[in-house]
Amino acid sequence: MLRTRGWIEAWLLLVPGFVFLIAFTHVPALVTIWNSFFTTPRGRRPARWAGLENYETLLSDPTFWKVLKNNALYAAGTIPLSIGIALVMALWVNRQLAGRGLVRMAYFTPTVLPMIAVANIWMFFYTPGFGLIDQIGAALGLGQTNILGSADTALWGVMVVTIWKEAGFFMIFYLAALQTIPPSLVEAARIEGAGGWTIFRRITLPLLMPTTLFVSINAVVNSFRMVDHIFILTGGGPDNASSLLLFYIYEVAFRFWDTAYGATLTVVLLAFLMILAIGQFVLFDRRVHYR
Amino acid sequence: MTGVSKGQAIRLEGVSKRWGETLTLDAIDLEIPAGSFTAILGPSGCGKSTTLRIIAGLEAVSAGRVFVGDRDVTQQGPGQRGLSMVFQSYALFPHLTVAENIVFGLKVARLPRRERLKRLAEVAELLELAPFLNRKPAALSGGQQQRVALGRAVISQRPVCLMDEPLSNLDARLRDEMRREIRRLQQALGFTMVYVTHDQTEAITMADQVVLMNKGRIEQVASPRDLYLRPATCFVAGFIGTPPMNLLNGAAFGSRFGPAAEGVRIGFRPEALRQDPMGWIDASVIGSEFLGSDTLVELRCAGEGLLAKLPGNAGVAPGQTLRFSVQPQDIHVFDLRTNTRLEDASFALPLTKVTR
Ligand SMILES: Nc1ncnc2c1ncn2[C@@H]1O[C@H](COP(=O)(O)OP(=O)(O)O)[C@@H](O)[C@H]1O
Ligand SMILES: [Mg+2]
Repeated sequence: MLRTRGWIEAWLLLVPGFVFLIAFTHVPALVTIWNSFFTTPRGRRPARWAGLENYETLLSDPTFWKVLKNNALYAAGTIPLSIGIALVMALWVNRQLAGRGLVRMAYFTPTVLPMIAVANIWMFFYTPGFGLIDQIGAALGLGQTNILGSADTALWGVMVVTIWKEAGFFMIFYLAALQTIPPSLVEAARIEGAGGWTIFRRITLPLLMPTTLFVSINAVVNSFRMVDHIFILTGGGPDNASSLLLFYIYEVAFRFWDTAYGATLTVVLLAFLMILAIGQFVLFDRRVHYR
Repeated sequence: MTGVSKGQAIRLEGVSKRWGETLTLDAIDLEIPAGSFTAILGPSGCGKSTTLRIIAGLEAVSAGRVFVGDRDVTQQGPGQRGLSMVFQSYALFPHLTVAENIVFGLKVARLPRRERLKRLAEVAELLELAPFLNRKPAALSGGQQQRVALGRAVISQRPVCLMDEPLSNLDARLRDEMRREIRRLQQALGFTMVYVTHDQTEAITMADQVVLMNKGRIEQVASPRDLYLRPATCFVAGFIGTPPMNLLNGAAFGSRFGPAAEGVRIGFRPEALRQDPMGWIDASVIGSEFLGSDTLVELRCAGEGLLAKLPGNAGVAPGQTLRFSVQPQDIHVFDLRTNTRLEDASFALPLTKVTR
């Protein structure tokens, strides 16, 4: 009796949160999946059942494969680098050095800037002829560059901006984690004769594993989610060379208004994210030590 | 664990440590004999841990030199000094198993796997750790974690072992047990032990030699027995013993001392007071505390507080006036100006006679 009442109360307390979560997350997600099995309604022609047609289109869509490849490259390039740089910066800033607060703030600044502002700052670096890179290049006697304008380099240009933006954010997590490691652990290792590298590899890094897991899941999600800067930097071009999956979804759904195909692409994106997140948990699980 | 390394002596020469303006250690000179058990004792904040960490190399000296054996190790890192250490918090690596924790140092030293396993088995047997070797530290009780920390310290067979209040996180019973165990380990393995504690019982029961510190200086270095029987300074007298020595102003006894009483403190232990109708100490009872085998009586004498430990249930009532005497050999006299003990026995003599 008492237990039943406890349950009811608990559910009542959860309801407001659930209502919003269901209305704005779960229902749209299910509707998206549902929509991906229909054609796009156009004019007076209503949506009709299409079965797996949209998915067949997707498999034979060269742009889809191109943006998927771009995204894989983007993820593979930005995730390890931004995490690695974040870790190095955190280790560096965690030491007793003069002006530590200032350095920390400097490293953290990119994080508080909106992605659009970040992209504008980098436009100032990248602009052919006038940009900082070309001005320095000219001073050194190098030719003009057009990093964002050429298909070979546009994606790399976008990736650099992402790393620049993300590393500072991840650094904060590493910094917080480093400060929870008791100094006596490092001292004990030093007494046992361990050098800096051994301490890092055998003590610090394993104790940072939960943070690494957290940060890398964030990084993976971000690599599929952060596309704001592409609008400013390249618009996905040239010839989709710097387009990513989410950017392509935006173009399909809201520029070409092919909402059904957009829904199909979204389902694929969601599936990817889920598989990656689960995969990471499984991969890290054995190596993560939760305290 | 047979064929263990011999302990090495430790010597500090004029070691000072300052953090900004504050002088934490003030030109300390200290000799710790090879193979001895030396306890560094003192109130909280007196610089015990700092001294230990300077010996360990975890803290750099501001001035002075540190020797281990006959090597000047002042400029060497902690890994090169040939010592092991047990931390107050144990500092076990939480992500490693008990076995991995214990052999950590051997692995760093690249000892062959077979030798590692052999020594691990010996240490596990010595400290009764065998059932826990595959557990993580978090799955152990405080006492077991303590043993793991001990195991990690002794497995490398280094000539010096440092411990910083290793028992302070244990309950009273376990503390007694571990006290004996650590002492047994040190005697069996023969290393030089430097043991920091603020607990005089630990220092007195375990150590061959006690270093009593106060405010960044060494007050006395002596065996526990000498520390109790012949305290070198007023501070030592007031620190050692439970309850500690009564220390009264020489002037409190006025004419009995004459002019010599100026700037002098007279000390005698509560247990040295004997009830004696002809005694020269005239005190009124403030209260009493029955301790079982004896009674602690709080007294007031010539305007100063005084404690007496009387045998059995003394049955004294507040307000009562008692007379005590103290044997001359139980009287300690300290000169406040030079902060030293006055050995001149004639000083104490007038006290033993009743001059009425
Ligand atoms: N890292 C430090 N920075 C500044 N002051 C310190 C530091 N470590 C210790 N001290 C100061 O040195 C004094 C002695 O400390 P410590 O050696 O830890 O005393 P204890 O005898 O209790 O072990 C204390 O007053 C403490 O505040
Ligand atoms: Mg201390």
